[in-house]
Amino acid sequence: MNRRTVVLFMLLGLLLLAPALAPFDPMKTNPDAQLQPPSLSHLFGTDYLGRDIFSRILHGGRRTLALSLLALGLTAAPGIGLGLWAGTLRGQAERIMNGALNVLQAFPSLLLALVIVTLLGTGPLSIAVATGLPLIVPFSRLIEAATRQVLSQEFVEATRSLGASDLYLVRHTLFANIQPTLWSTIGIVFGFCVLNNAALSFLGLSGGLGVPDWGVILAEARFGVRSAPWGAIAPGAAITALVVAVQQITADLAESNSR
Amino acid sequence: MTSILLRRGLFAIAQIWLTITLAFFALRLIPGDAIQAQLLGSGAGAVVVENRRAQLGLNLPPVEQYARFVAGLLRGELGYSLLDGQPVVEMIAQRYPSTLSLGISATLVAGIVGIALGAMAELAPYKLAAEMARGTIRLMQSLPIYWAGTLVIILFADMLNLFPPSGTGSLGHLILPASVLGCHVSGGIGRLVEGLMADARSADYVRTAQAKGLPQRLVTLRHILRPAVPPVIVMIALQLNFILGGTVVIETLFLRPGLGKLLLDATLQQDYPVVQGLVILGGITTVVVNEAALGLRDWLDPRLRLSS
Repeated sequence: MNRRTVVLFMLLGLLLLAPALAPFDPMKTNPDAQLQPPSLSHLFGTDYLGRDIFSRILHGGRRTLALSLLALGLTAAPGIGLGLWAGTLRGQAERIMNGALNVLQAFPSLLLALVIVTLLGTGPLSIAVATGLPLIVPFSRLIEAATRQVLSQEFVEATRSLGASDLYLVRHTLFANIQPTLWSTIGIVFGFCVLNNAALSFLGLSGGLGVPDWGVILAEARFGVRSAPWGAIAPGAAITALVVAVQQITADLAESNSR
Repeated sequence: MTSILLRRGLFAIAQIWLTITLAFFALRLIPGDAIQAQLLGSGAGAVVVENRRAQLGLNLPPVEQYARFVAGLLRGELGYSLLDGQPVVEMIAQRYPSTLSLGISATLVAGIVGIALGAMAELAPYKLAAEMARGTIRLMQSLPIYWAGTLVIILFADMLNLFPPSGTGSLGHLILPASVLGCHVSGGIGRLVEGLMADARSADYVRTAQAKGLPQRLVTLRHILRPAVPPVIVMIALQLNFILGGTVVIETLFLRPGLGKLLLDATLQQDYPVVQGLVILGGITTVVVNEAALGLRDWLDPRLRLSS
């Protein structure tokens, strides 16, 4: 259990226990306490409607985390499948798949996300879909490279010549050996999920209605930024801390698995 | 060489065709009835909706719609906004200069900052300078652009009053948004340059150059920096992907009336033809710039130039 893991678990613990820990109702406006600086009762100050930013961050993180995990699931399942499949292709099929994935990958992912939001309308679920789907191809590319690299090694050939079935090879040889890549890929992609999810809600595509979400809190910090600049610091720092912590930890996991 | 360029050209055309087709079918066929959704809000009756559909050619069979759409594209038409019937081409033409200047200046910033940081991280004579450059690269890569932009506005526009916080028009209006966007994508370039420098420094040909007594300055210039040029050009071109996405955030944050803001507004209002036009424009720009950069790399790199 290293320092990074402790940081991540503290973050997750804070978010899970948000209803118990948050000193205020995250939606409750207070006209008498607008744009207050950080103090003992309002750790991160209050926003333009007098809502407690600390409570909003705690509650908002739950939504950001849940939507990012949903997006991760939407990318990881097809991404791993596509990557494993593409990694086993050879010859002409490999060239065709390569060309097709290149075409899809060249397309700017935020544009793709906005197309998806246009189709589905604004809302929390549609931004999770819009965050997840464009990441499938980059995800599968990393898995594909690892699969190809593992399959080209001699011990795979040796296992096969000992009479191992394809299923055995996939389950025991391939999976065991692409695990380091799998972990680090999940970490990187989850980081993108959090970042892009917050970006879309920052842009006002999550449907709003005052429900806290790190992207929304950051966007709302712009109201009254002149007299209360501190409001913009906490939500951005929360997003960055979560992304960096997850990426570092999955990098460590990948390293410990590759030994 | 000619055959490589020809293959690139064909690949680019295939990519562009695929972009257009996907943009058409994704946005014209799936939403069922965008017109109805748009007009019902204004209380229009069934007849008005039907007329509007016929006017836009939406009651034709899909294949015919597609053929008309592609034919229109070849004539330089992108359809009309569902909201006010303005031609999409006109809307884009009004706003593209602002986005173009933002994109080009951000790319310049990204290239300069990225190369400088990457080279410093590996080649700086002082350990502290190298460490700082390395740290800055990581920081650029992990700071969300919408946060960096917000903080920069607070610091440089609101508190120090050095630059205007929003709008367009002068060079002063361009400096903050271009710097934020450029620095945001410079991390990836810096990381690549850093890696290339590290590889080159331990390469056999660099050891040979040093062994034959070439001054270190020339070794750095000719044997370490020069081979890094082609891959760095490609990397800078690949950042266009993030620059295009970044313009949406930056133009929203700095209230610049450009294509990114237009795309966001069209997305919020589900104005399909505008989204479609901008997506096609973005897709084509990406393909052309990427393929041009790859072609330039093939031409600059003698190993690739001579191999065909």
